[in-house]
Amino acid sequence: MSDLTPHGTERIGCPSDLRLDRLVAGELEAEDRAQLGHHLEQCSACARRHGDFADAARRFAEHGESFDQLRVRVQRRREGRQASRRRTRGLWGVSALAAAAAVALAVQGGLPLGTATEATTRSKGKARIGFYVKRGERVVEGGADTILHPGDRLRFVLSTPRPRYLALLNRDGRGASVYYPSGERALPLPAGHDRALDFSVELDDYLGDERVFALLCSEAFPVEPLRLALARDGALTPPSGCSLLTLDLHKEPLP
Amino acid sequence: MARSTHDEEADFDLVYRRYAPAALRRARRLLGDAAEADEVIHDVFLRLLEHPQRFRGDSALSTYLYSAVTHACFNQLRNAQNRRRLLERFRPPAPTPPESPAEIGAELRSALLAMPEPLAEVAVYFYMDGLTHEEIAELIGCSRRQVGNHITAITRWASREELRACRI
Repeated sequence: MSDLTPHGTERIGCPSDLRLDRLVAGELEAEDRAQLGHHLEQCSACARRHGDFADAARRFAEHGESFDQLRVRVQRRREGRQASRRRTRGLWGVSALAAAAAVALAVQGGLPLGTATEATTRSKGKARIGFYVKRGERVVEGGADTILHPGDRLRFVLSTPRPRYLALLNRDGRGASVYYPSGERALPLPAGHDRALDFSVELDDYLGDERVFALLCSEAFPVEPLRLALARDGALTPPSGCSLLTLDLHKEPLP
Repeated sequence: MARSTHDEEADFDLVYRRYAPAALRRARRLLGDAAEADEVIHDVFLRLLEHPQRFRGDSALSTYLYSAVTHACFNQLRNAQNRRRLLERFRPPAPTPPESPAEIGAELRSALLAMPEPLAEVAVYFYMDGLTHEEIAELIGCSRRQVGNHITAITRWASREELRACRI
């Protein structure tokens, strides 16, 4: 508790965030407003703070999401979490030992993994892609509602009922790039469930939406032509004998 | 003439747009997690939409929301703490991370959770938010003298905890 050092606003006379918020919201009486205005004229730190709050309020009023939009977003996140919990409980119920082994193996690989996620639709025998997020020392399952931040590390997991060749590409507002493999041609992916790929991606500072494309084919294929097509068209059409999985990611600034 | 649902919804949207940024900033600061803060803000405003009578109008709406968000964040932190306890039963211990401002924030949050709730609330207002005794008195509905007593109690509590930690 030694970290608790009082701001002591009463001693130095600076207004609290609450008082500035009330000023921005137009809740203060004229006398109080005048007194605060006088302080803001003389205190550059508080004037800057007040400016930041007022700017944020203005931006939100003009461009912020509505309550309905927030409601939809939170609802989706909660549904995703509930589905994930159902899946996790089921796995532990079937084989707690297998789940513990998966965690131990993943930790040896440098990035601990939990159990399977319901981030994408999954049914027995179908290919699927999911991901885990490492933020600091914390690892969480990714889902459709996961908000990512610059610096997060992602590790993708794939399930496929039969051996395939895999390439992983991404498309955001800047263009297209290849996440996997680092070479020119797609690499083999053995059959398996929630198999973690042997690489992770550290997210850069570019914000907004991004789509990850996983192309699974029966034969090896060159990756660069696909990247060019993705950069040009913004989408991929899977060649014959291939299947395409997509994953949408959303990145926001660090709070 | 009775107001239509559309009017009420439009009023609520105005309220949300005016007050959400400050509420969201506060929730993010207390929780340290943008997604959890979104959920808290959603719940606080949904309660206001469904039960507008809870805001009795004896304080400013900013003040009411400030207090409501604080309580909701405490609940969220407690829930998160409970979830972590459950998860720790299934996960190997993580290596100790280096100390950074974020970790100090987490340590502070843990300390607040260990404190009796009335004191924790005052501790957040006084030590984290830098509110005046008068503002805290308005938020928690008591006198300035009682706020002073609470702060003394927090100091004593913190000393006892530090002493206990030394003995361990």
